[in-house]
Amino acid sequence: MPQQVFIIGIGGTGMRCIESFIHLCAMGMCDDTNVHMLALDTDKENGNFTRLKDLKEAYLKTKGVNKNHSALKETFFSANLLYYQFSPDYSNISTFDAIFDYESTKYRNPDETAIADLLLTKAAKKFDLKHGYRAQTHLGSMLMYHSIINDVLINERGDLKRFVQELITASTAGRPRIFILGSVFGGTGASSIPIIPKAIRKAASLISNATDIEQNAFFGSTILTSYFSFVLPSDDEKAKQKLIATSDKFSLNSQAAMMFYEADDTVKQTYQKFYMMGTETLEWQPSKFKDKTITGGEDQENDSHYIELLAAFAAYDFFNVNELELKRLKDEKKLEYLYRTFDDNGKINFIDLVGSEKKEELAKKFGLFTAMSYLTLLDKYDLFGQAQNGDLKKVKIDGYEDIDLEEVKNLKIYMGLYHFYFRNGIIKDGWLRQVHHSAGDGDKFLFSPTLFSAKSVKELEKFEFNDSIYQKNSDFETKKFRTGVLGMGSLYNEFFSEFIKTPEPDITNKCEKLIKRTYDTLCKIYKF
Amino acid sequence: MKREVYESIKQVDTLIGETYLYAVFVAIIALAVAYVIARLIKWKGGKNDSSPLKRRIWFIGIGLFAAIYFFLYNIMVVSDKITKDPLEDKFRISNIIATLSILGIYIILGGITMLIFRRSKWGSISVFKSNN
Repeated sequence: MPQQVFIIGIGGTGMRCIESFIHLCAMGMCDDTNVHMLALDTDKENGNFTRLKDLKEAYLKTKGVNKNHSALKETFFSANLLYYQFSPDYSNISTFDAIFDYESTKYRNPDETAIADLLLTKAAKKFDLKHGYRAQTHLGSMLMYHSIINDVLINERGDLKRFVQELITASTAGRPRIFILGSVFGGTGASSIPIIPKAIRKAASLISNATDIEQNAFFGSTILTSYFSFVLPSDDEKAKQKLIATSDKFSLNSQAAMMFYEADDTVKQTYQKFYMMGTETLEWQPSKFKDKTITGGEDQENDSHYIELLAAFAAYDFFNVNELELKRLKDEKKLEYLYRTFDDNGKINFIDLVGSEKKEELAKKFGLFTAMSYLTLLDKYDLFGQAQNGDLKKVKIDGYEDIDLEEVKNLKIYMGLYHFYFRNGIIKDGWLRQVHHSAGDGDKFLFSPTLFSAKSVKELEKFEFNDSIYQKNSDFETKKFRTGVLGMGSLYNEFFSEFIKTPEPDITNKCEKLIKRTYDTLCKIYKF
Repeated sequence: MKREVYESIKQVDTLIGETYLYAVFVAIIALAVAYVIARLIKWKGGKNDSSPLKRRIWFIGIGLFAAIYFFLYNIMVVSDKITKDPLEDKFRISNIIATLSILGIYIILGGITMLIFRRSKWGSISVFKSNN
């Protein structure tokens, strides 16, 4: 029976954290698990939200187009992803004043507007909510809470309601774990982290009284403090936007949020684990626009950062921690803060992400998945294209020639988003390369620097991933394979010779079957 | 140095026996050479991997070369040593049979081993279909 886990990503940073978590699922780090994933953002058009949607779409279609998906073990794309999304609808009514009907309420019920006047500045009541809550967390918490309740009430077939229903089912059968990914320095994430458990409980009670989710479920979250900055807005922009979140206030926002969480009994009694993370400086500038401030929308497509990967591993840790430990924390109403520091040399190693027990598993799955990206993306290898073309019949491996075209296409899209893709003949960085860049390039991030040095298709094709994935002098230096004696062999020759000997996996879907066979082959040749 | 000649029926019969034996050796050596070359041809990635076709061409080429070389050698070198025409005719018929035997052994033994090792470079030469 697969494990059921629930993960909620909130706001722009939450979207990128979810993106990292999906990559963990694709690497095979979440074997035999049904991952219920809710993406929650106010900004529907946000570039990061769009990228996340593309990524999950590619993941789901790789697992099967118009087929039932299931959780698998010891393969890539093993987790069964169940994706839900929710965005409060600010398309027509997009300011607090409009939602609250401030002008009418002022005459009908002046007490209410008096409270609003007390808590909210004039600018806070008038800014466009389509691009998030812009560090106005008091406003954001209230609006997000009511948006969630409202959607569950009126949207009978909505994603949010389905997510809560799944949670109710899991809560009836056991004790589900819910992990929230989001930042505390911006608006949407910081607003939502404190209210999500309450909102879910309320939403669940509107659907069924059978179970108390807040009592049954375990909650964990990231406390993701400031780690990037962007260009400060000009006076013109400030005037135009009415209210704008600026990165010079991110540290202050983070501090205020943490003080609030530490002081708030509701937060402390609801959550069992908080994973604190952030960077020393705000030097990272992920925005594609260096000359203007992007408040949201399709232009807000920030590059990924290793902190988001760390956040995904926080969720991974939370889902794998012993239930007795969570139960003890819950019973004692204790909130545990966790953090991890990197070596002084600034290098990120596998052990930093998952600890010593799981570092080998991570190195294996992360490294081999990267190896598969070459086999998938480069025409020189194009294993899946070969299968589709019927070339495997030449070695008497039948049955892959009718592999679903759409599934192979989406696998390639996925791998492109993961590692690299080509646009107009130029290599574009996928998630892995962006994360490597955020860590400071060179040998600062897990793998060999040569993995990231290719700048053209030719260089990519020349890259010998048989012995250049893991760093020299690392624990995994020996995880490589030779390509024949005196250069007589070739990388693909070694891979394919082993591939044809690998037993046929017992999986119905052809694309998943071929992925599993590739995984088994790579495990063998890299000696894992 | 005295040139070796075959004059009697007994001598030619022995020669024919040896020729059949050599035919078997030649077929086996040709198979071994074809196998080594098949192994040396690398699997190529990408759509339309041409390596199985290359192995097939080499396999056919080596088989034909071995058979033709064996046949011509016997005609041009060995037959010359047979002094009597009727005996030479007898040897020539045996040479044809031995040459066909080379091809037969080469194809049958090659085919059987390809069938056994169907999922290998050697197996990729054959046109047999998979049984899975």
